[in-house]
Amino acid sequence: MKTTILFFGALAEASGTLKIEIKNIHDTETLQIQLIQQYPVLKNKTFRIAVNKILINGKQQLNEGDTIALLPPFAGG
Amino acid sequence: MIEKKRHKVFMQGPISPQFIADSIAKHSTKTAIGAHDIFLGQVRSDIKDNKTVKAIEYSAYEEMAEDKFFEIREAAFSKYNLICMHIYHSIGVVEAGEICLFVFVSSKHRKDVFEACQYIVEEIKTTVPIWGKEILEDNSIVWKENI
Repeated sequence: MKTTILFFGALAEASGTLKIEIKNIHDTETLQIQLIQQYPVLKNKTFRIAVNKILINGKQQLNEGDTIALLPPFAGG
Repeated sequence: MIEKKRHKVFMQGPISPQFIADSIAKHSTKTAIGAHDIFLGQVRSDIKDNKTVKAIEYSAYEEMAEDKFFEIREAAFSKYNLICMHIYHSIGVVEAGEICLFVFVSSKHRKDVFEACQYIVEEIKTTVPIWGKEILEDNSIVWKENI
């Protein structure tokens, strides 16, 4: 199972990453643990998660082909 | 004659006063309108770490942001009695003093446009995935956060 992870704003800058693919992660909680291991710089950052462009709260199951976005606090306007 | 077509919100760089003036002028043929309200967001030269902000570089999760803008439009049309609505937001670098957000709502009467304009701006600030990197006078950066 493959999912795409997108990094934005301060998270993209801190991790030096815009996009990665991760295999065999089945929920957002496990994903967060793995991401923090892979990118320790994310540990103290505030961000929300969107799955397929929808913001989620808490743990969510992931499916093949999902796009997960890591969204730091918004600053539009 | 309610206008609901989906147009692109993001504009590269600042939103020019001429573009805003032209948008107003285009409404002269829509004579059912009796009230317009406009909100313009302008980049502020705040002081951060004792340095002046000279510009903001905006970035966005554009696909999600366009969906959010569309949801805001739909919600505003259903909540308020509007004739038309336009939203434009900058992407890329906008210097202090330049316009980065243009919200333009029109209706028969003032009450709907006042309330709709405020609603739309608040929704944009809190629900649309847009980020602003403040560029300081010495080219160091600070990530902006809406409060």
